[in-house]
Amino acid sequence: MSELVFVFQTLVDGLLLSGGYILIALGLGLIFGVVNYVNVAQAEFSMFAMYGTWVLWIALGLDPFLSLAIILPVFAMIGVAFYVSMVRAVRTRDHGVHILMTLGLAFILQNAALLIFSADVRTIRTAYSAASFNIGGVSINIVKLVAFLIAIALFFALIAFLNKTRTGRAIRAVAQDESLAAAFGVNVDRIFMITVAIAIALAAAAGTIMMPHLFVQPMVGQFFVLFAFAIVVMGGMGNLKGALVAGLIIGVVEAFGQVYIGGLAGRIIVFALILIILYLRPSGLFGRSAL
Amino acid sequence: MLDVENVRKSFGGTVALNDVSVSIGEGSIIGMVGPNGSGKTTLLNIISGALPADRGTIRFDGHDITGREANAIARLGLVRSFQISRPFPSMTVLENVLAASHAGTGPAVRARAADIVRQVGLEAVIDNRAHALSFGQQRLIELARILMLRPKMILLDEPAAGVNPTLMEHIKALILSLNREGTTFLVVEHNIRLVSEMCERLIVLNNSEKIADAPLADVLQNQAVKEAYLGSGRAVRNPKHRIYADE
Repeated sequence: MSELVFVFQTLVDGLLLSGGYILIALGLGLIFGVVNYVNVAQAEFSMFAMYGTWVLWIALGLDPFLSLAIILPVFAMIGVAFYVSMVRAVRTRDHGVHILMTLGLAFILQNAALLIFSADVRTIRTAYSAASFNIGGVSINIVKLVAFLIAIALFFALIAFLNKTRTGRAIRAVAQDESLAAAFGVNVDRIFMITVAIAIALAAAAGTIMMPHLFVQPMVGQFFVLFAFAIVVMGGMGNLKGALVAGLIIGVVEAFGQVYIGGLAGRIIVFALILIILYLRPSGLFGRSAL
Repeated sequence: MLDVENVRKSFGGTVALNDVSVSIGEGSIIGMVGPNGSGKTTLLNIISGALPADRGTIRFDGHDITGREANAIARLGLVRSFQISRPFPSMTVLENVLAASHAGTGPAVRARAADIVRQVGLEAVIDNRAHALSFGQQRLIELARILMLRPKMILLDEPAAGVNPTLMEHIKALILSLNREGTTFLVVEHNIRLVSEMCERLIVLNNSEKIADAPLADVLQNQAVKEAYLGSGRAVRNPKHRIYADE
C-alpha cells in the first residue's frame, strides 16, 4: 500500500468512525442548547442501547441496524422518564448540580450494567461484518459505512425536523427565548420533554450503529462521553452544525493519532487539537448557537 | 373581556401592586399610564401569566386565568408584547411569525403568515434573520407574531417606545384597524398623544395603586393624577412622559 493510499485509508476510517460520536454529541448539544442542562450520563444511554442491540441480536436474531426501529422509540420513552424524574426538578439550578446528578446516574447505570451483563466484552458479528469494497486501493467496510450513513441521515433528519415542523420550530423558539416562547403559547415544559426524548434517542442510535463494529462493556460510555463533550466544545456549545464538523474532525484526527502515534496515546492529539482551537476560538469553531 | 380584581404583588418588602382592579370591555382600547415604577409592566406580567400574583383574581373571556401558565393564557387569545422587542434572533421574519402558530405548518398556515408579514410592512425582509433588522422592524415582527395567534385581546407594553414618528403612525393605524375588527387592547404607553388619539379610557397607576380610571378629559382634571405627574419635583420630568401641556 502506497503512502498516499495509506493516508486516504486512515482518513476514510476516521470519517466512518465519527458517526457514533456525532450522534452522542448531537444529543448532548441539543439538551444543553434547549434545556440548558448538562448530561454527563449521555453516553451511558448509548452503552445500554448497545446492550439492547446485543440482546435483540442474541435473543431474536434481529439485525443490529434493523433493531433501531425498536431501540429509538424505547429510548425516547426512557428520555421522557429521565426528564420527568431527574431533569425537570433541577433544570434551573446551577450546572454543577446537573453534573453531580448525572455523574451519579452514570455510576448507577454502569454498575447496573455490570450486575446485569457482567464485565465481559460483548460483540455482534453479522454475516456481513467483514464485507468491504475497494475504491482506488482504499478499503471501505460495509458495516462502518452503513453506520456512518445512518448517523449523517439522522443529523439531516434532525435539522429538517427543527426547521420544517411546528414542534421543531417551537424547540428552536424555546432555545432562543424560553419566556417569549411561553408568551406566544408554546408549552415550554412539553418542549423540554420532547427535546430530552430526542437527545436520549440519538444517544441510543449512536450505541446501536456502533455495536456491529465495536464492542460493549459497562464502562464503554466513559470513553464515548469524553469524545462527545470534546465535540460539543470544539463545535460550539449547542451548535448542531458545529457538532457535525467537529465530530468529523475528531474522528479523522483520532484515526491519524492512532496510526501515527499508536494506541490510546494517539487520542492525546485529539485533546491537544481541542486546546489549540479553544485558545484561538474560545467559543468553538462555530460559536455558541441558539439553534 | 378582562376583569382584574384586587391583585397584589410584592417583591420582598417592596409592594409593586396594591389591590389593583381593572375591568376592560370587549372591543375597547384602554390606555394605562403612570410614572416609571408605578406597576404597569408588573400588572401586564401578572395578567399574561409571566408572574404569579400574591392574591387577587383575573378572569378573561369567561375563564379564570389566575395563576395559569403563560402559554395557556396565550392559547385562550390573550397575548402581550414586550417593552423591548424580543424577536427569536436566529429565525427569519417568516419563521418568527410561524413560531407563534398553533395550527401546523401547512401551505395555508405559511400563506397566512406571509400575508401578516405583508400587512405589517415587512415583506421586503421576510427571509432575513431577525437579529439583523432595525429596532423598528423588530417591533413590527412582534406585532406580526401577535396577529398570527388571532388574539381576542392584546396587551401592548409601550408600543411606541423608541420608534420613529412614521412607524408610530403605522403602528397606530394597525391597532385601530384590528380594533375595528373586534380585537380588544390594553395599551401601556408613556406617549400621551398616542394614547389620547386611540384610547377611550385611561387607567392611571401611581405608587403601585390605581389612582384614576376614566375618560381622558376626566383623568386630566383628576387631582391625584395631577399630583402624581406634576408633584413638587417638576424639574426631573422626562419630556416624553408629559401628561399636562404646562408640565
